Amino acid sequence: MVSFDFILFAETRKKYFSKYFISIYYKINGIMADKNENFDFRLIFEKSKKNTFKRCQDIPETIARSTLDIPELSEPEVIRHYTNLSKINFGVDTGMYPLGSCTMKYNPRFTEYLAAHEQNMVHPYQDESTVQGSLKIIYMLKRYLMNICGMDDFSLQPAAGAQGEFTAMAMIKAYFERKNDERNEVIVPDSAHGTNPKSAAMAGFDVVEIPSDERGYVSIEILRSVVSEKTAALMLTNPSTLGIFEKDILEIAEIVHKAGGLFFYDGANLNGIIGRVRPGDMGFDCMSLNLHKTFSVPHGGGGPGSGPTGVKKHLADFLPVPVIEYDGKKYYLDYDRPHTIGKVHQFHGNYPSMVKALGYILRLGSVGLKRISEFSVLNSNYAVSRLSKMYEIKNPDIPRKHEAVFSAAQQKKYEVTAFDIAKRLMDYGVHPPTIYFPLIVKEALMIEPTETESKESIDRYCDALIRINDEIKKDPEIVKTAPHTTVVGRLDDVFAARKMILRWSPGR
Amino acid sequence: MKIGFIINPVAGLGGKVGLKGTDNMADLAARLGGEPVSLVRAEQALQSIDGNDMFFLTCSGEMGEDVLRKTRFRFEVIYEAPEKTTAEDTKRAARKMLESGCDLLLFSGGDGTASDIVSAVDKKIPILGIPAGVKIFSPVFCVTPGECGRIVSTFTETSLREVLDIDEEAYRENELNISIKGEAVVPVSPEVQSGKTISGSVDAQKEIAERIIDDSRSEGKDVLYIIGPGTTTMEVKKRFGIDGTLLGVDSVKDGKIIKKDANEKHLLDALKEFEGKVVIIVSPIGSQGFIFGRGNQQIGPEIIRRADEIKVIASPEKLESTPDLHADTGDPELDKKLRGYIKVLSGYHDFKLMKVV
Repeated sequence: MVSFDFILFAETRKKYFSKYFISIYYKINGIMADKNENFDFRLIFEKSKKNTFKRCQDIPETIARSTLDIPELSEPEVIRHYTNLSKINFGVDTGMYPLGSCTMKYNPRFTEYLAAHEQNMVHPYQDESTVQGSLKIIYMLKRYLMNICGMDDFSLQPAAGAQGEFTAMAMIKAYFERKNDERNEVIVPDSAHGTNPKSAAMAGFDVVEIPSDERGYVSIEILRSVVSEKTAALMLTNPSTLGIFEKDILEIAEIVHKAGGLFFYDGANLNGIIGRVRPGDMGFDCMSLNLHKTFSVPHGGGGPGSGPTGVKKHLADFLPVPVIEYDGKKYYLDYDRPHTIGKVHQFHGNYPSMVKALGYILRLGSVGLKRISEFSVLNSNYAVSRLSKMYEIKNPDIPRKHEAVFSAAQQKKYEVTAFDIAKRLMDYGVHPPTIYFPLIVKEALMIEPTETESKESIDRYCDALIRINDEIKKDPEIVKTAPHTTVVGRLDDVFAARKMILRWSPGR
Repeated sequence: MKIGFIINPVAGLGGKVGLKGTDNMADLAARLGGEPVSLVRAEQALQSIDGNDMFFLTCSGEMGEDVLRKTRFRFEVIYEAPEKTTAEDTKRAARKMLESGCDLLLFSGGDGTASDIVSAVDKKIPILGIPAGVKIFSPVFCVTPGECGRIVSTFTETSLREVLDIDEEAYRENELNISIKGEAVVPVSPEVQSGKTISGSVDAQKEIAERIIDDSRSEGKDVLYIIGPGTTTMEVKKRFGIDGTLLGVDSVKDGKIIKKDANEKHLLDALKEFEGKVVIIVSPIGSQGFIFGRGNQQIGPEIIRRADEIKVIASPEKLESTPDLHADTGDPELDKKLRGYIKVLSGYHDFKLMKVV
């Protein structure tokens, strides 16, 4: 639909726009069509040809439009529109953003300057000899990650954590196929990130979800009963989504390995243990990382992300190609991985993210990296100490790592839900935590302050939650109808689901 | 929105007087002093509905009119109920409401009422129960009457659920005998969803059936499938391309139905001469979690022992409300053997490890 709108958009408005603008639209959407049937990018020497636009064949006539009214706007109007939007936005630069399980920490500005440095303006098709510096950056980052994680090699191609997981799963699949071993089951605890089972399924595995024990740990008894000659891998995040370190991690690794399976580490929660313990030493065979979490590269729209995949020696031949290597004299692209699963991303991956991550690692150094986990653990346990009286938390005696999951189950007696509390927090000028995840905790409020927040800002956040708890007892309506101070009030998601408006039309 | 509204005035009467249900026992219950729970709960439910754009179609007297008069809602009586109402009145009223084209049928009662209504309207309109009966096993009821309003005014989609009932005569003799009475379309209100749900499969039953069929291709020809009752297993029967039963056990071989609605003897006879692989496919009864011994007693202990594989299938939704699985085959030795962990298929690639206790 979107592409189609853009076709019409370009079709009707092309005479009003400069060539520059139109070419951008073409590039963004890749929809420019010539007289051939297929949609395709137009090559530069074809630009002088007369444009013809094709309608996508599978859009029925009944919903297709022949004209489109687009408002005429001047440059200052557009600038003001977006500046005003940015003012009502909320991000980690505006306030605390304790979105548990996402490690939303401050992105130091110097990494932006590094990535924007003109020396980085290189073309991926340039000859190796002319981009030695850029290759050195990628190689150095790889070596640091290997050291930090205890792995033997890394691919920096994957563009997101989930793609990193998928890359590892695809390698595991290839590994067993090569051994003519028909293992097809991947075990995933019920506290895992939703991407874990989906990555395994995408690689063609069956996923077996196992329940955690009553304290939130992987149950050794259950794990022993489920591993078999079908087990290809166990996917695990440690610390878990509950912010709890799996104390039996070595025994877990042993059970999986004895059954003939491999052990995968989801690095989403590395922030809680970086510099303290290495996945490689815990017995993991492969892993994924999120540079846009632990290594302070911006998340989401500020991205793009980067999800490096690390492996121990026995999987190194399966890595995506090319891998960046150094022969003592020069850096080069190594395509010699005999069992490679192929490319997962064009060229070398998201290069600017790597520049930022390397800058971050170098500035912090080994002492600074250790302090990440020290402070993030200290901060989350401080939040637990302030909130555990008002908000239920299971097994408060187990120290948390980087994050903690509270439950608004007690507040539910006043018919107030975690959702309402999240909305009310916005009235206090802070960002809501992750809610309703992990699914094993009812009415979950998942708080991850990260190491970059001061005691004062965590206090402010906890104060807001404590006041909301008082409000719930005295006047629950104010929480149930929140937010009251934001630009838009509570959005009617039922109305939105029943009466969807999927495109702009004049007069709205 | 046009809502059909039926109260089973005798539902729940037997609860407090310990009769374990009111089927055919209304007189006795009334004499023992049971309160009209159903009317009170129905009123609570109606009071929880916001908005004024609802119009109700209902029955005279205790079957709806009396309660609706106490609310602000507009309504029309389209079924004249006799003074003493029976299950037949529920069915007749439900049929009338179906004919009058309502968008939702709201009823106050228990499992018995639910199965009467389903027998009349089938899956033609969505139904929603106000929990007022003694037995409320079917997943067609709101959790509390107060929750009814939110569901009525917010539902955006519907889902297929099993209507269950227990045999009251047997239950009074302390025997729990749950069976599936039919399928109902039930409104589903949007829950607050996390962006990170473990299973987001829209149509898990279809995925499960697809997987069973794909596996059956690799399992080869000489396999006898014994498929239990239920909505999920019915989807499998449909994908096998056979004319199976929703409430019964069917046996299938080489994509052909061997015995429709088979009883234990049919199944045993079929196994006598058979030397190939036997696969049992069952779905647990929602929330109770029985995989054997409830609603599928046809699959007796001897058959379970003979089976080479037992495939347990269930949608993630059903598993969420089912903490553990149970087996009550009638053979304590076999029950013990079935205990432990079992992988339940809940999507094409998804298994959930469950405990049989």
